[in-house]
Amino acid sequence: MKLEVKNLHKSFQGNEVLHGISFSVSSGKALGLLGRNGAGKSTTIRILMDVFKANSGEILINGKPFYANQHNIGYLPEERGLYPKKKISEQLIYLAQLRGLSYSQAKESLRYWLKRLGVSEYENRLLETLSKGNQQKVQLAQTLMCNPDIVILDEPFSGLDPVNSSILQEVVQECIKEGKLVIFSSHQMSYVEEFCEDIVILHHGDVVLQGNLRQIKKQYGENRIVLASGNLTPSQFEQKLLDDYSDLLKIYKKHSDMFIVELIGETQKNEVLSRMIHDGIELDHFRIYEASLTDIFVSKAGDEE
Amino acid sequence: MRSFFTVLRFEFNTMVKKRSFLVSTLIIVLGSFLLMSLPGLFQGSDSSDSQVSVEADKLMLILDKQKVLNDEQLLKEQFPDYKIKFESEDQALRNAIELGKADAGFIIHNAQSFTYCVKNSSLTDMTDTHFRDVLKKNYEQTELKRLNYNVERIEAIYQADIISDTEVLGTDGAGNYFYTYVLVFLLYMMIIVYGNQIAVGVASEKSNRAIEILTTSCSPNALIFGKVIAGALAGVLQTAIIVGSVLIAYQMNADALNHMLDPYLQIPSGVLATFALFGVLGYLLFSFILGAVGAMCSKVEEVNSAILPIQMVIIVVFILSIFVLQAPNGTLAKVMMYLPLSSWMCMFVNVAVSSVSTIEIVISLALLAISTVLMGFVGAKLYRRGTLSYGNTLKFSQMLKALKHND
Repeated sequence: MKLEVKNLHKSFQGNEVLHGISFSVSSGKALGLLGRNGAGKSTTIRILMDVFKANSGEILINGKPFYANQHNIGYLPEERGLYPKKKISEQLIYLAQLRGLSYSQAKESLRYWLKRLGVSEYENRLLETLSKGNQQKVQLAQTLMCNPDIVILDEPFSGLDPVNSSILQEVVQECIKEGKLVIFSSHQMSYVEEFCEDIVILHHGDVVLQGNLRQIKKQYGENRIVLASGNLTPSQFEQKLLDDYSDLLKIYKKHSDMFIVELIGETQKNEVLSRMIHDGIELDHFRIYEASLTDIFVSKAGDEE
Repeated sequence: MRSFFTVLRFEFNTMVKKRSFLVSTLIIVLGSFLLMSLPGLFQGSDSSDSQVSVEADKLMLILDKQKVLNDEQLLKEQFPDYKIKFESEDQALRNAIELGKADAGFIIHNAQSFTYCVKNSSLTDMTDTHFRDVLKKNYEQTELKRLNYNVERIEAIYQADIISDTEVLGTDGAGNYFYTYVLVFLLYMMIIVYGNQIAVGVASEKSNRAIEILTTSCSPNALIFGKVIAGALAGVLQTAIIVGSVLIAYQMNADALNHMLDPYLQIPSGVLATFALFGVLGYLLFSFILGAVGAMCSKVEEVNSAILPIQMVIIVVFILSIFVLQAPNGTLAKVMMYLPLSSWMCMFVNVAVSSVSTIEIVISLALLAISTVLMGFVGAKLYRRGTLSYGNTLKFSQMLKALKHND
């Protein structure tokens, strides 16, 4: 199953919030939808879920028009909410029935997911009597109860403590292994790095970066190397780089005695290495730099403000 | 359709399991039983009073120096629970009253004037009024005799009964007035009370954010129709329980109530059918409107002010229906029985108290039914639109825009 979003535009009262975004995701993979607050992540998800209508553009599934109500989708909205004054079992069974399950199927699924998420003892409690974290888990159970083919999670980790986050991570990993198509938005880059093969970074309603996360990271590290000198102090080494190596590289970042440098033009890594050996600089570190997702995100979406 | 019934069942269960629903139903049912039983209870105590009155253990003193009272029998008939004793001294009479030896005292000054003496007066004491009647009758008889008239004959002339009968060839407006008024009021209360609950129910889903899950799980039509019809059914159920309990309580106490409500319970089937059809459709029409207004609010606290204009319309229709009840053939009645916003109440009133042709009823019913269904779909669209506007209460202009655009 392949879901494709093509050239989506969306405006609210004349204010365009999506400027023709496009991306795609396939079954058995997770797509991380990243962006700062107001970048258009939730709007994109809501268009996918048919909560909003796009002004133009199309969404295709296996090449055919995609209609959310014709697919089994598990949706965890950004605006969390169930019925606070109703029993958990009552409301989850109701919502599962609305999505096509029979009463007995819904009850069976409810018991499985509440147990799986460690909240089975709250089955007959009112939602409002649970802690925020447990309410989140109940909401997640609601998302997954119908064994969806497509799982859309909008900020699933917000408000969860590390223990509950790890439970959620396991569940998401399971979904991916089971071949489900997973899309989720998050601000927490570590989670995205952990299980997203592909990412899309939105910024002010535009896709500023998308693709395979590993390749993106590789591309970002391609002309950058990490250096640390064994015989020069960090300040001496920095001065040396600035004075004698400005034709080959420029300093990108400095972390204590480690320097991340960016190679200029067609400069090769070996060229830098051989000149440093020739200049008598002992190197404790000489390796290809691998950018973190946070670095990539900040470089793409961290311009102003 | 399956979603509709799922929503209907869930919402209906939610409403009827609410503590407020259960408690209010129980209180009203018990209250109606108590209210209907009160005359019986009082009658019970009255009968014991009458037994006491036969014993005539109360004492009445009368000072009649001028010998005005010619017929002592009049006094005994009027005051069967009193022993009557004639006193000769003014002060002795007052002392006896003051010391509690006598319960009532009358000092007759002349044939048309007396003073009532009592130790403690009370608002419910009618003794002096009854005594006035005695003295008046005594005066009439005395004067008629003095003028040589036959008292019995004159009394027979004055008390002659005229027997009449009314043959209603059209609608018995007078006979139908009471229950029509009651049914109009019942309908009005149902829409005000349960319509408000429907609006609150919809708004609370928005404020607790469940609405986004709901609208992505099934169609807004199934949601709004399921919710509104569930609210309407809960209202009908509670009203049926209350009316049923009143009727049962009445049947149990009918003898004590002298069967006073019997004539009003003979409601013609045509009037009942019109009430059921127009009442249900009108109830649904306003429930859809109120449900849609509820969806426009972002918080439950905003519901009351948001639905105020709709409630004003309902109140105006109710007041105008009372006018129609009194003047069923006027222009106002003719206009209101076709307008969907008023026909649900006015057509039923017109059928009950005047003559309305079948074709008029059919046209009005069709207009109301079409408006109700349309309002259902408009409500669904507004409900759908309402899901997208967290944090802000939509204005009327935005609601109209929502009907044109797909956001």
